[in-house]
Amino acid sequence: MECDEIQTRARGGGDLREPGVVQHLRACETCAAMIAAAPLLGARTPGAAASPSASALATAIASDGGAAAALRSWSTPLRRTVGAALVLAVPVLVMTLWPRPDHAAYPVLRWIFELAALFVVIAAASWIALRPLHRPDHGGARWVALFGVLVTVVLASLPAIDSSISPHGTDALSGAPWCFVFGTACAVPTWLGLRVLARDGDRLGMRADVVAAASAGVGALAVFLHCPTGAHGHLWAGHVTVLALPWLLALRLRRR
Amino acid sequence: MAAYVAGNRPAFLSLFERWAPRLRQLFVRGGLRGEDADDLVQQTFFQLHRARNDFRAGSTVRPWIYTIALNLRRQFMRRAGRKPEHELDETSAPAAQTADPDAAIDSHHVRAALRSLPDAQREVIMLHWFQGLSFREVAEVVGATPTAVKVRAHRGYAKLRAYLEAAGVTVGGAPSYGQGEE
Repeated sequence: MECDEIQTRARGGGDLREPGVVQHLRACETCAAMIAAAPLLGARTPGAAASPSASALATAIASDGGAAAALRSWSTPLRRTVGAALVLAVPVLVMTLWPRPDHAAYPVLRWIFELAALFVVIAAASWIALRPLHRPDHGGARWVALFGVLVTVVLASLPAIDSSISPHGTDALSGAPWCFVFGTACAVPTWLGLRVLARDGDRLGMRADVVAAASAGVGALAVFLHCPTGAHGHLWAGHVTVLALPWLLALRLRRR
Repeated sequence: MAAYVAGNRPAFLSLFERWAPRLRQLFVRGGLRGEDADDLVQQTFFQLHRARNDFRAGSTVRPWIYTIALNLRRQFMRRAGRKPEHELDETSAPAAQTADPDAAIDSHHVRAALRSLPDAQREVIMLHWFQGLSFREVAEVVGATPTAVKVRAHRGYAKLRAYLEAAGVTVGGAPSYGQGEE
Protein backbone atom coordinates (compact mmCIF):
# COMPACT_ATOMS: atom_id res chain seq x y z
CA MET A 1 0.00 0.00 0.00
CA GLU A 2 1.28 3.46 -0.92
CA CYS A 3 1.23 6.73 1.05
CA ASP A 4 -1.27 8.24 -1.44
CA GLU A 5 -3.74 5.44 -0.75
CA ILE A 6 -3.49 6.05 2.98
CA GLN A 7 -4.04 9.76 2.43
CA THR A 8 -7.09 9.13 0.25
CA ARG A 9 -8.57 6.76 2.80
CA ALA A 10 -7.94 9.09 5.70
CA ARG A 11 -9.45 12.07 3.90
CA GLY A 12 -12.34 9.97 2.63
CA GLY A 13 -13.17 8.44 6.01
CA GLY A 14 -12.16 4.96 4.89
CA ASP A 15 -11.28 2.00 7.06
CA LEU A 16 -7.81 2.41 8.54
CA ARG A 17 -7.85 -0.87 10.46
CA GLU A 18 -7.15 -3.16 7.52
CA PRO A 19 -3.95 -5.21 7.87
CA GLY A 20 -2.39 -3.51 4.83
CA VAL A 21 -2.98 -0.06 6.28
CA VAL A 22 -1.71 -1.03 9.72
CA GLN A 23 1.41 -2.56 8.18
CA HIS A 24 2.05 0.61 6.18
CA LEU A 25 1.56 2.86 9.21
CA ARG A 26 4.12 0.81 11.16
CA ALA A 27 6.68 1.33 8.43
CA CYS A 28 5.88 4.93 7.39
CA GLU A 29 6.40 7.58 10.05
CA THR A 30 4.93 10.33 7.87
CA CYS A 31 1.61 8.58 7.33
CA ALA A 32 1.50 7.57 11.00
CA ALA A 33 1.98 11.23 11.99
CA MET A 34 -0.73 12.28 9.53
CA ILE A 35 -3.21 9.71 10.84
CA ALA A 36 -2.44 10.70 14.43
CA ALA A 37 -3.01 14.40 13.73
CA ALA A 38 -6.00 13.97 11.39
CA PRO A 39 -8.78 13.68 14.02
CA LEU A 40 -7.55 16.84 15.71
CA LEU A 41 -7.50 18.79 12.45
CA GLY A 42 -11.22 18.18 12.09
CA ALA A 43 -13.47 18.09 9.08
CA ARG A 44 -12.68 20.07 5.98
CA THR A 45 -15.51 22.31 4.91
CA PRO A 46 -14.88 23.35 1.33
CA GLY A 47 -18.40 24.57 0.87
CA ALA A 48 -17.97 27.25 3.53
CA ALA A 49 -15.30 29.16 1.65
CA ALA A 50 -16.20 32.35 -0.12
CA SER A 51 -15.54 32.51 -3.85
CA PRO A 52 -13.82 35.59 -5.27
CA SER A 53 -15.47 37.37 -8.14
CA ALA A 54 -14.35 36.59 -11.68
CA SER A 55 -15.33 40.01 -13.04
CA ALA A 56 -12.12 41.77 -11.93
CA LEU A 57 -10.09 38.97 -13.49
CA ALA A 58 -12.03 39.21 -16.75
CA THR A 59 -11.38 42.96 -16.83
CA ALA A 60 -7.66 42.49 -16.14
CA ILE A 61 -7.35 39.89 -18.90
CA ALA A 62 -9.29 42.05 -21.35
CA SER A 63 -7.00 45.01 -20.68
CA ASP A 64 -3.85 42.87 -21.03
CA GLY A 65 -3.44 43.58 -24.72
CA GLY A 66 -0.95 45.24 -27.04
CA ALA A 67 2.58 44.40 -28.14
CA ALA A 68 3.97 43.92 -24.62
CA ALA A 69 1.24 41.42 -23.73
CA ALA A 70 1.90 39.54 -26.96
CA LEU A 71 5.64 39.31 -26.20
CA ARG A 72 4.96 38.17 -22.64
CA SER A 73 2.67 35.43 -23.83
CA TRP A 74 5.37 33.77 -25.93
CA SER A 75 6.56 30.39 -24.67
CA THR A 76 9.45 30.49 -22.22
CA PRO A 77 12.06 29.00 -24.62
CA LEU A 78 11.15 31.65 -27.21
CA ARG A 79 11.26 34.48 -24.67
CA ARG A 80 14.67 33.30 -23.43
CA THR A 81 16.02 33.01 -26.97
CA VAL A 82 14.88 36.54 -27.81
CA GLY A 83 16.25 37.77 -24.47
CA ALA A 84 19.65 36.17 -25.20
CA ALA A 85 19.72 37.75 -28.68
CA LEU A 86 18.89 41.13 -27.19
CA VAL A 87 21.60 40.83 -24.54
CA LEU A 88 24.21 39.66 -27.07
CA ALA A 89 23.35 42.38 -29.57
CA VAL A 90 24.80 45.15 -27.39
CA PRO A 91 28.36 43.80 -26.96
CA VAL A 92 28.46 42.68 -30.59
CA LEU A 93 27.44 46.18 -31.69
CA VAL A 94 30.03 47.82 -29.45
CA MET A 95 32.79 45.49 -30.64
CA THR A 96 31.85 46.19 -34.23
CA LEU A 97 31.33 49.96 -34.12
CA TRP A 98 33.29 51.28 -31.12
CA PRO A 99 35.92 48.73 -30.04
CA ARG A 100 38.59 49.69 -27.50
CA PRO A 101 41.87 50.61 -29.23
CA ASP A 102 44.05 48.35 -27.04
CA HIS A 103 42.12 45.21 -27.85
CA ALA A 104 45.07 43.55 -29.60
CA ALA A 105 47.44 44.36 -26.70
CA TYR A 106 45.10 43.19 -23.94
CA PRO A 107 46.22 39.96 -22.20
CA VAL A 108 44.20 37.17 -23.79
CA LEU A 109 43.54 35.16 -20.63
CA ARG A 110 42.39 38.19 -18.70
CA TRP A 111 40.19 39.23 -21.62
CA ILE A 112 38.55 35.81 -21.70
CA PHE A 113 38.16 35.73 -17.92
CA GLU A 114 36.53 39.15 -17.68
CA LEU A 115 34.20 38.51 -20.61
CA ALA A 116 33.23 35.08 -19.28
CA ALA A 117 32.57 36.37 -15.76
CA LEU A 118 30.32 39.15 -17.00
CA PHE A 119 28.51 36.81 -19.38
CA VAL A 120 27.85 34.34 -16.56
CA VAL A 121 26.32 37.11 -14.47
CA ILE A 122 24.21 38.41 -17.35
CA ALA A 123 23.08 34.94 -18.43
CA ALA A 124 22.13 33.83 -14.90
CA ALA A 125 20.26 37.04 -14.14
CA SER A 126 18.43 37.03 -17.49
CA TRP A 127 17.54 33.35 -17.10
CA ILE A 128 15.89 34.03 -13.75
CA ALA A 129 14.22 37.22 -14.97
CA LEU A 130 12.55 35.29 -17.79
CA ARG A 131 11.62 32.24 -15.71
CA PRO A 132 8.30 30.48 -16.27
CA LEU A 133 5.73 31.36 -13.62
CA HIS A 134 4.67 27.77 -13.00
CA ARG A 135 8.03 26.79 -11.47
CA PRO A 136 8.70 27.23 -7.74
CA ASP A 137 10.35 30.50 -6.80
CA HIS A 138 12.14 30.53 -3.46
CA GLY A 139 13.60 33.99 -3.68
CA GLY A 140 17.09 32.92 -4.81
CA ALA A 141 16.99 35.78 -7.32
CA ARG A 142 18.24 38.18 -4.67
CA TRP A 143 21.45 36.18 -4.14
CA VAL A 144 22.12 35.92 -7.86
CA ALA A 145 21.60 39.68 -8.13
CA LEU A 146 23.94 40.32 -5.21
CA PHE A 147 26.59 38.06 -6.73
CA GLY A 148 26.11 39.89 -10.02
CA VAL A 149 26.70 43.27 -8.39
CA LEU A 150 29.88 42.06 -6.70
CA VAL A 151 31.30 40.59 -9.90
CA THR A 152 30.36 43.65 -11.96
CA VAL A 153 31.80 46.13 -9.46
CA VAL A 154 35.06 44.17 -9.11
CA LEU A 155 35.54 43.80 -12.86
CA ALA A 156 34.50 47.37 -13.66
CA SER A 157 36.99 48.74 -11.14
CA LEU A 158 39.94 46.53 -12.14
CA PRO A 159 42.75 48.77 -13.40
CA ALA A 160 44.33 48.07 -16.78
CA ILE A 161 47.62 46.22 -16.72
CA ASP A 162 49.37 48.89 -18.75
CA SER A 163 47.92 52.30 -17.94
CA SER A 164 50.10 53.95 -20.58
CA ILE A 165 47.57 52.67 -23.11
CA SER A 166 45.00 54.91 -21.52
CA PRO A 167 44.29 58.03 -23.57
CA HIS A 168 43.47 59.89 -20.39
CA GLY A 169 46.54 58.87 -18.38
CA THR A 170 45.97 59.13 -14.65
CA ASP A 171 43.52 62.02 -14.80
CA ALA A 172 40.82 60.76 -12.48
CA LEU A 173 37.65 62.07 -14.03
CA SER A 174 38.58 62.81 -17.62
CA GLY A 175 36.15 61.03 -19.95
CA ALA A 176 34.25 59.47 -17.03
CA PRO A 177 30.92 61.22 -17.78
CA TRP A 178 31.05 59.91 -21.34
CA CYS A 179 31.68 56.33 -20.16
CA PHE A 180 28.83 56.65 -17.64
CA VAL A 181 26.42 57.86 -20.33
CA PHE A 182 27.65 55.28 -22.86
CA GLY A 183 27.37 52.36 -20.42
CA THR A 184 24.00 53.48 -19.11
CA ALA A 185 22.66 53.88 -22.65
CA CYS A 186 23.85 50.33 -23.40
CA ALA A 187 22.18 48.99 -20.23
CA VAL A 188 18.76 50.52 -20.92
CA PRO A 189 17.74 48.26 -23.87
CA THR A 190 18.39 45.19 -21.75
CA TRP A 191 16.41 46.65 -18.87
CA LEU A 192 13.45 47.42 -21.13
CA GLY A 193 13.69 44.14 -23.07
CA LEU A 194 13.77 41.93 -19.98
CA ARG A 195 10.91 43.82 -18.38
CA VAL A 196 8.77 43.42 -21.47
CA LEU A 197 9.67 39.74 -21.94
CA ALA A 198 9.21 38.77 -18.27
CA ARG A 199 5.78 37.25 -17.76
CA ASP A 200 5.16 39.46 -14.72
CA GLY A 201 7.32 42.35 -15.91
CA ASP A 202 4.83 44.93 -14.66
CA ARG A 203 4.96 43.46 -11.15
CA LEU A 204 8.39 41.92 -10.74
CA GLY A 205 8.78 42.49 -7.01
CA MET A 206 12.14 41.26 -5.75
CA ARG A 207 13.03 39.90 -9.19
CA ALA A 208 13.53 43.48 -10.33
CA ASP A 209 16.97 42.95 -8.78
CA VAL A 210 17.96 40.36 -11.40
CA VAL A 211 16.75 42.59 -14.22
CA ALA A 212 18.96 45.31 -12.75
CA ALA A 213 21.90 42.90 -12.40
CA ALA A 214 21.57 41.76 -16.03
CA SER A 215 21.23 45.24 -17.49
CA ALA A 216 24.01 46.68 -15.32
CA GLY A 217 26.20 43.76 -16.42
CA VAL A 218 25.49 44.54 -20.08
CA GLY A 219 26.28 48.23 -19.48
CA ALA A 220 29.55 47.38 -17.72
CA LEU A 221 30.43 44.92 -20.49
CA ALA A 222 29.79 47.57 -23.14
CA VAL A 223 32.09 50.06 -21.37
CA PHE A 224 34.75 47.38 -20.91
CA LEU A 225 34.66 46.60 -24.63
CA HIS A 226 34.81 50.28 -25.50
CA CYS A 227 37.07 52.17 -23.07
CA PRO A 228 40.74 51.37 -22.42
CA THR A 229 41.20 53.87 -19.57
CA GLY A 230 42.62 52.22 -16.47
CA ALA A 231 42.88 55.07 -13.94
CA HIS A 232 41.14 54.26 -10.66
CA GLY A 233 39.20 57.51 -10.51
CA HIS A 234 37.94 57.11 -14.05
CA LEU A 235 36.92 53.49 -13.44
CA TRP A 236 34.95 54.31 -10.31
CA ALA A 237 33.40 57.51 -11.69
CA GLY A 238 32.67 56.32 -15.23
CA HIS A 239 32.50 52.51 -15.24
CA VAL A 240 31.21 51.38 -11.85
CA THR A 241 28.53 54.10 -11.87
CA VAL A 242 26.91 52.34 -14.82
CA LEU A 243 25.21 50.20 -12.17
CA ALA A 244 23.39 53.20 -10.73
CA LEU A 245 20.43 53.70 -13.06
CA PRO A 246 19.39 50.01 -13.33
CA TRP A 247 19.49 49.67 -9.54
CA LEU A 248 17.58 52.88 -8.95
CA LEU A 249 14.91 51.63 -11.35
CA ALA A 250 14.91 48.26 -9.56
CA LEU A 251 14.39 49.90 -6.18
CA ARG A 252 11.43 51.76 -7.60
CA LEU A 253 9.99 48.65 -9.24
CA ARG A 254 10.34 46.49 -6.14
CA ARG A 255 7.84 48.61 -4.28
CA ARG A 256 5.02 47.78 -6.72
CA MET B 1 -6.57 24.62 -19.57
CA ALA B 2 -5.79 22.94 -22.87
CA ALA B 3 -9.16 24.17 -24.14
CA TYR B 4 -8.31 27.73 -23.10
CA VAL B 5 -4.93 27.56 -24.81
CA ALA B 6 -6.74 26.35 -27.94
CA GLY B 7 -8.87 29.51 -27.88
CA ASN B 8 -11.90 28.50 -25.82
CA ARG B 9 -12.28 31.62 -23.63
CA PRO B 10 -15.16 30.39 -21.43
CA ALA B 11 -12.98 27.43 -20.40
CA PHE B 12 -10.91 29.81 -18.29
CA LEU B 13 -14.00 30.89 -16.38
CA SER B 14 -14.73 27.25 -15.61
CA LEU B 15 -11.20 26.87 -14.30
CA PHE B 16 -11.69 29.92 -12.12
CA GLU B 17 -14.98 28.73 -10.72
CA ARG B 18 -13.48 25.36 -9.90
CA TRP B 19 -10.22 26.48 -8.35
CA ALA B 20 -10.75 29.98 -6.96
CA PRO B 21 -12.51 28.90 -3.72
CA ARG B 22 -9.77 26.35 -2.98
CA LEU B 23 -7.03 28.89 -3.60
CA ARG B 24 -8.79 31.36 -1.36
CA GLN B 25 -8.84 28.74 1.41
CA LEU B 26 -5.16 28.08 0.82
CA PHE B 27 -4.30 31.76 1.22
CA VAL B 28 -6.50 32.27 4.25
CA ARG B 29 -5.04 29.19 5.95
CA GLY B 30 -1.63 30.59 5.09
CA GLY B 31 -2.39 33.59 7.27
CA LEU B 32 -3.74 36.17 4.82
CA ARG B 33 -6.75 38.37 5.33
CA GLY B 34 -9.75 37.87 3.08
CA GLU B 35 -9.14 40.87 0.84
CA ASP B 36 -5.48 39.95 0.35
CA ALA B 37 -6.49 36.37 -0.40
CA ASP B 38 -8.95 37.61 -3.03
CA ASP B 39 -6.27 39.77 -4.60
CA LEU B 40 -3.81 36.86 -4.75
CA VAL B 41 -6.46 34.58 -6.27
CA GLN B 42 -6.97 37.15 -9.04
CA GLN B 43 -3.23 37.45 -9.55
CA THR B 44 -2.82 33.67 -9.66
CA PHE B 45 -5.31 33.37 -12.50
CA PHE B 46 -3.93 36.40 -14.27
CA GLN B 47 -0.46 34.81 -14.21
CA LEU B 48 -1.96 31.50 -15.32
CA HIS B 49 -3.45 33.37 -18.27
CA ARG B 50 -0.07 34.89 -19.13
CA ALA B 51 1.69 31.53 -18.80
CA ARG B 52 -0.82 29.72 -21.01
CA ASN B 53 1.59 29.20 -23.91
CA ASP B 54 3.92 27.16 -21.68
CA PHE B 55 1.14 24.69 -21.03
CA ARG B 56 1.49 21.41 -22.89
CA ALA B 57 -1.50 19.28 -23.81
CA GLY B 58 -1.71 16.24 -21.56
CA SER B 59 -0.23 18.02 -18.53
CA THR B 60 -2.33 18.63 -15.45
CA VAL B 61 -3.15 22.18 -14.44
CA ARG B 62 -3.35 21.52 -10.69
CA PRO B 63 0.40 21.73 -9.91
CA TRP B 64 0.60 24.87 -12.09
CA ILE B 65 -2.12 26.65 -10.19
CA TYR B 66 -0.69 25.79 -6.78
CA THR B 67 2.88 26.65 -7.78
CA ILE B 68 1.85 30.07 -9.07
CA ALA B 69 -0.30 30.63 -6.00
CA LEU B 70 2.47 29.74 -3.54
CA ASN B 71 5.00 31.86 -5.44
CA LEU B 72 2.66 34.83 -5.15
CA ARG B 73 2.06 34.11 -1.47
CA ARG B 74 5.81 34.01 -0.78
CA GLN B 75 6.27 37.29 -2.67
CA PHE B 76 3.46 38.84 -0.67
CA MET B 77 4.97 37.64 2.62
CA ARG B 78 8.42 38.93 1.68
CA ARG B 79 6.95 42.31 0.83
CA ALA B 80 4.84 42.38 3.99
CA GLY B 81 7.81 41.60 6.20
CA ARG B 82 7.56 37.80 6.36
CA LYS B 83 4.73 37.64 8.89
CA PRO B 84 1.29 36.21 8.19
CA GLU B 85 -1.22 38.98 8.79
CA HIS B 86 -3.14 36.99 11.37
CA GLU B 87 0.00 36.43 13.42
CA LEU B 88 -0.22 40.06 14.42
CA ASP B 89 -3.53 39.32 16.08
CA GLU B 90 -2.92 36.42 18.44
CA THR B 91 -5.71 37.53 20.74
CA SER B 92 -8.40 37.37 18.08
CA ALA B 93 -11.65 35.77 19.08
CA PRO B 94 -12.29 32.11 18.40
CA ALA B 95 -13.62 31.44 14.93
CA ALA B 96 -17.10 30.53 16.03
CA GLN B 97 -17.58 33.92 17.67
CA THR B 98 -16.58 36.10 14.72
CA ALA B 99 -18.54 37.26 11.73
CA ASP B 100 -15.59 36.56 9.42
CA PRO B 101 -16.76 34.02 6.82
CA ASP B 102 -13.18 32.78 6.44
CA ALA B 103 -13.14 31.74 10.06
CA ALA B 104 -15.50 28.91 9.22
CA ILE B 105 -12.77 27.16 7.25
CA ASP B 106 -11.02 25.81 10.35
CA SER B 107 -11.37 26.01 14.08
CA HIS B 108 -9.52 28.75 15.91
CA HIS B 109 -7.09 26.20 17.33
CA VAL B 110 -6.32 24.65 13.95
CA ARG B 111 -5.62 28.09 12.49
CA ALA B 112 -3.34 28.91 15.39
CA ALA B 113 -1.61 25.53 15.08
CA LEU B 114 -1.00 26.09 11.37
CA ARG B 115 0.41 29.54 12.07
CA SER B 116 2.84 28.03 14.55
CA LEU B 117 4.51 25.93 11.85
CA PRO B 118 7.54 27.06 9.85
CA ASP B 119 6.48 28.20 6.37
CA ALA B 120 8.00 25.19 4.57
CA GLN B 121 6.07 22.74 6.78
CA ARG B 122 2.86 24.78 6.66
CA GLU B 123 2.92 24.80 2.85
CA VAL B 124 3.32 21.03 2.74
CA ILE B 125 0.51 20.41 5.24
CA MET B 126 -1.82 22.86 3.49
CA LEU B 127 -1.26 21.16 0.14
CA HIS B 128 -1.19 17.56 1.38
CA TRP B 129 -4.00 17.46 3.93
CA PHE B 130 -6.21 20.39 3.17
CA GLN B 131 -5.88 20.47 -0.64
CA GLY B 132 -5.44 16.73 -1.13
CA LEU B 133 -2.28 16.70 -3.26
CA SER B 134 -0.08 13.61 -3.28
CA PHE B 135 3.47 13.84 -1.95
CA ARG B 136 4.75 13.75 -5.53
CA GLU B 137 2.53 16.67 -6.51
CA VAL B 138 3.45 18.61 -3.38
CA ALA B 139 7.12 18.06 -4.23
CA GLU B 140 6.55 19.46 -7.71
CA VAL B 141 4.71 22.49 -6.35
CA VAL B 142 7.20 23.42 -3.63
CA GLY B 143 10.30 22.52 -5.66
CA ALA B 144 11.67 19.84 -3.35
CA THR B 145 12.21 16.09 -3.55
CA PRO B 146 9.36 13.79 -2.44
CA THR B 147 11.61 12.56 0.38
CA ALA B 148 12.16 16.10 1.65
CA VAL B 149 8.43 16.75 1.43
CA LYS B 150 7.71 13.62 3.48
CA VAL B 151 10.16 14.76 6.14
CA ARG B 152 8.48 18.18 6.30
CA ALA B 153 5.06 16.54 6.44
CA HIS B 154 6.12 14.20 9.25
CA ARG B 155 7.48 17.07 11.32
CA GLY B 156 4.53 19.30 10.51
CA TYR B 157 1.87 16.74 11.42
CA ALA B 158 3.72 15.87 14.63
CA LYS B 159 3.92 19.56 15.61
CA LEU B 160 0.27 20.15 14.76
CA ARG B 161 -0.75 17.21 16.90
CA ALA B 162 1.42 18.34 19.81
CA TYR B 163 0.12 21.90 19.56
CA LEU B 164 -3.53 20.86 19.40
CA GLU B 165 -3.19 18.39 22.27
CA ALA B 166 -1.46 21.01 24.37
CA ALA B 167 -4.32 23.40 23.56
CA GLY B 168 -6.77 20.85 24.92
CA VAL B 169 -8.31 19.88 21.60
CA THR B 170 -9.72 16.39 21.80
CA VAL B 171 -11.27 14.05 19.31
CA GLY B 172 -14.99 14.42 19.70
CA GLY B 173 -16.12 11.13 18.25
CA ALA B 174 -15.13 9.82 14.89
CA PRO B 175 -13.50 12.38 12.61
CA SER B 176 -15.47 13.26 9.51
CA TYR B 177 -12.98 13.55 6.70
CA GLY B 178 -15.45 12.65 4.03
CA GLN B 179 -16.04 15.96 2.30
CA GLY B 180 -13.70 15.41 -0.58
CA GLU B 181 -12.97 18.24 -2.99
CA GLU B 182 -12.00 16.16 -5.97
